[in-house]
Amino acid sequence: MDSEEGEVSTSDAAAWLRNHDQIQDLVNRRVPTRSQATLSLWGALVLAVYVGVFLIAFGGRTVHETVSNGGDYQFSNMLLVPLLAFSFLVNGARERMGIQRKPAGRSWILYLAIFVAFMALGVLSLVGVGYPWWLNLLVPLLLFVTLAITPLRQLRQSVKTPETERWVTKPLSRPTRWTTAVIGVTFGLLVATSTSRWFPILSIIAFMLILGALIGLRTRWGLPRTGYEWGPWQWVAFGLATGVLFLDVALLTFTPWMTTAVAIIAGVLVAAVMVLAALFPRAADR
Amino acid sequence: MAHPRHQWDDAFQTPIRFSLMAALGTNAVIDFRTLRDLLEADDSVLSKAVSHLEKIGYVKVTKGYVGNRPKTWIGSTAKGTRAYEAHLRALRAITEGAL
Repeated sequence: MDSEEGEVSTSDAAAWLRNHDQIQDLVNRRVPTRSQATLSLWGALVLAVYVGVFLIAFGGRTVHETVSNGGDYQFSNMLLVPLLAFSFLVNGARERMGIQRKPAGRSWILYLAIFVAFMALGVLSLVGVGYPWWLNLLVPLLLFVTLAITPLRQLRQSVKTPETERWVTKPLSRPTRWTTAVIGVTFGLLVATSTSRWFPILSIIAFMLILGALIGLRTRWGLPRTGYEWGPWQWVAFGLATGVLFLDVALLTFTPWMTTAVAIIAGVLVAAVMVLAALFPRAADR
Repeated sequence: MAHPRHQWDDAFQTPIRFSLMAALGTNAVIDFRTLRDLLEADDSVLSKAVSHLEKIGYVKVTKGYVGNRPKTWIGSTAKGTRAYEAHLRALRAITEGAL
């Protein structure tokens, strides 16, 4: 297909275009994979639930009302810590993929609009301006629909995930086992102490741990490496643990059900699930 | 308005650079190893092509990390996408006998 500038023959041009089509076809047959779509869908769910629980727990009421109603902004760390951990873990998981698709330009405008809406509701609550309660449900719902629509469409296209990128639960490396267990124990302690006076200290320590993880982003025990190695078992365990943390915040804010005993049992379960996910499968179990 | 054939871009005259831009399309970001396998190219040939396109602002190279192992991601820039699309238009104009 070599050609002199300005002297391209019709057959040469046709050959270039055929080459273009063949390569595009090769790429389109490889992406989006089911793994990529599932990961994006999972991210959409976590982010929407985070925004939803945050707004329902702390939005639509003044700071004074929130605190006097038994809720407390320090519980916001129980939402923020798993969300930050998740974002680092997902970054690592994405490194498994050989090809990624960037969101289209109009998607960014929608993300920005929803982010602005979320921030606006937060500011209205802080300054004590009331707004209809259903906005606390509408914003996370819109966020989920916006983020989930593309991965849902991609899942229907069902491109087979290449063997090298397929998510299977494999024995983890020793540093990843430790990091997974530390995540579990941290989440477990947050839940277990959520009704105690030690919670503010634990909450700050957990947040510092996440900040500390920033220093070790490129290490073998860092969160991205951990997310890279995790298989379905570990992601399900993390989902359960995160779900309990989010539920804990909602229950602490609106119900008296979260007694010390319930909190301790829930915390132990969270830690146990993640520690089991860290330990299994052993190398010999494969 | 200029004839599409004037939008023929010298940057895409080599098959490897053309194929690289075809693979990236408008919104794909591909890691170096995958791109090399996809285009069945040598490391050095692909590396030179990426460097050339990066120098003129047609592709963007970013480093990812898996633990302490670097991973190189390549994606097209808006300028690169526009140039490549114009180049394709020029090729289509030629095949349609517009010359």
